[in-house]
Amino acid sequence: VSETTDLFEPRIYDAVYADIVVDIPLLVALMKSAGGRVLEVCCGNGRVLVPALEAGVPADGLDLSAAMLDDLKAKLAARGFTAGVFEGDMRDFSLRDRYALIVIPFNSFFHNLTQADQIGTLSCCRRHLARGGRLAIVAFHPSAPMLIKYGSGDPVPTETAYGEGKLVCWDSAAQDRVEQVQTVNRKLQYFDSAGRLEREETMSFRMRWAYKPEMELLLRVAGFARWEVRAFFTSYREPASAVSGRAPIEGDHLLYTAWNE
Amino acid sequence: MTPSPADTVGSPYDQPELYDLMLDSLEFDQAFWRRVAREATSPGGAAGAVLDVGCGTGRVLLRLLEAGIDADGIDASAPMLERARARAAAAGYATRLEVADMRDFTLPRRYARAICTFNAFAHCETPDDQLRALRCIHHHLEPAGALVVFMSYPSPSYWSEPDGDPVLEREIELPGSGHRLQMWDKRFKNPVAQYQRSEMEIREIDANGVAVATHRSQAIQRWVYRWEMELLLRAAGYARWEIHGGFDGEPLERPDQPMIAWGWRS
Repeated sequence: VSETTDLFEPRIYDAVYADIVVDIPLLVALMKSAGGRVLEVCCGNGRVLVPALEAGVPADGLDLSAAMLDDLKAKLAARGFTAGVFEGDMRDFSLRDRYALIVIPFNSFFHNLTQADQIGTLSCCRRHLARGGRLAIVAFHPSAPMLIKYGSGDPVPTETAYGEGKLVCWDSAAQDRVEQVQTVNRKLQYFDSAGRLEREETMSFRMRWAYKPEMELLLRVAGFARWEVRAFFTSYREPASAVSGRAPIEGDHLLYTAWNE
Repeated sequence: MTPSPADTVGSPYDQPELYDLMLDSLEFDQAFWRRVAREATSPGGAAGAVLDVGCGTGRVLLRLLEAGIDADGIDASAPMLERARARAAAAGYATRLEVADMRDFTLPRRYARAICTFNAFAHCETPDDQLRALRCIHHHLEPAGALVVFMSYPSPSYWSEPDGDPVLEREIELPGSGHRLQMWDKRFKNPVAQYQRSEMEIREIDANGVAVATHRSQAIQRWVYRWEMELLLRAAGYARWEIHGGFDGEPLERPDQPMIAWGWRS
């Protein structure tokens, strides 16, 4: 029996992304270098924000999902951390503070499904930066082989440890390659230690990818005067490789940094 | 510095006669550009003037002139433009043809339509080149004028083709000689910078299948995605824009369609 669910259900999110850790030390180092207060936009239930607070970064978080934020608040309370936790839409939020750094990790910027959404998010973040502050977005650069692989219709499996057993996540995508939107259809299969299928869950979500020159134009149109783009790491499921100094290649996870001057 | 062999290879536009033998007979877009030009009107309803940006040897421009349209042209290549001038003069057409860089040109007229045919805009290799060209063209439009750009669209399967394999792009008969001309292209692609460097070879093949002459050249083409095109037009100051996927205004839905972008000055 397959149950329909939501990617932003904390139990499921933690299970699916349990092994997504490659970016955490890179982001924590970036946040520590901010020299002031940090806002994580799309902080969810704290995959990055909790380690950042553990490292002593003065940081707040914003997310659209009340369920994820409730889970985050419980984690913070259990650890005795204090942080601003704000429920809000990245396209249109209004906070009192101005930040030295705003980060949008893990492709979350690609939840913006229209150009107006993208520009709204960038403009809104820019308004929340202190003078000299930076916006840092981590997002993959699409690779043609990956687009072909996920768009073929054949589900692509990814395995993660789950309790004593394992979780297999099957993804296939319906792509509109001109709109740059893909609808990810995901099936989760939970297996016990003996390899028996315990249950199945399905979910669907849409993301809109962007190319590097397009991202740079979005930053320009949103009012940023200076930005840089570099390769941040190669893959969430591989050890962080040394990408520093080399030009970005397709499939890389890029770090877009834009300054509010 | 000693030039490497690649540096000594020129542009395909250094040999305009050869270019015309290969490509002047392309007919696929002629009716579209004629329609775009005919529908261009100036304030008061008079026929509007057309500027062909990247007109080359005049493949499209001469046909517009032949149809009685008031059209001028610019091209960055002096050999290509010289040939366009000679062809226009031979046919007795009145037209202004200037060697000029689309990123930075100054003409005395303002145009109802600027057209950028058959991937001419792909010669803008960087966002800076693209924005400068779009702004400069914008400056040369009448208040109600529009720019129309035709670009091939990049697809994942295109980017996934192996680099460096020779692709036969076009083959034609050389009239009266029994020889054929083949245009081969080795493509080296950078999907993040969105460009293709081409090493091209035009081979003249005799009746026995033997290559009797080979002409090498190289060029760079910078492809553009649809959302990027809209952002470029917006950033360059165009008031509104539309993106089509074909000559009849159909929507752009698949990468195997061409992208036809319209940008209005106001």
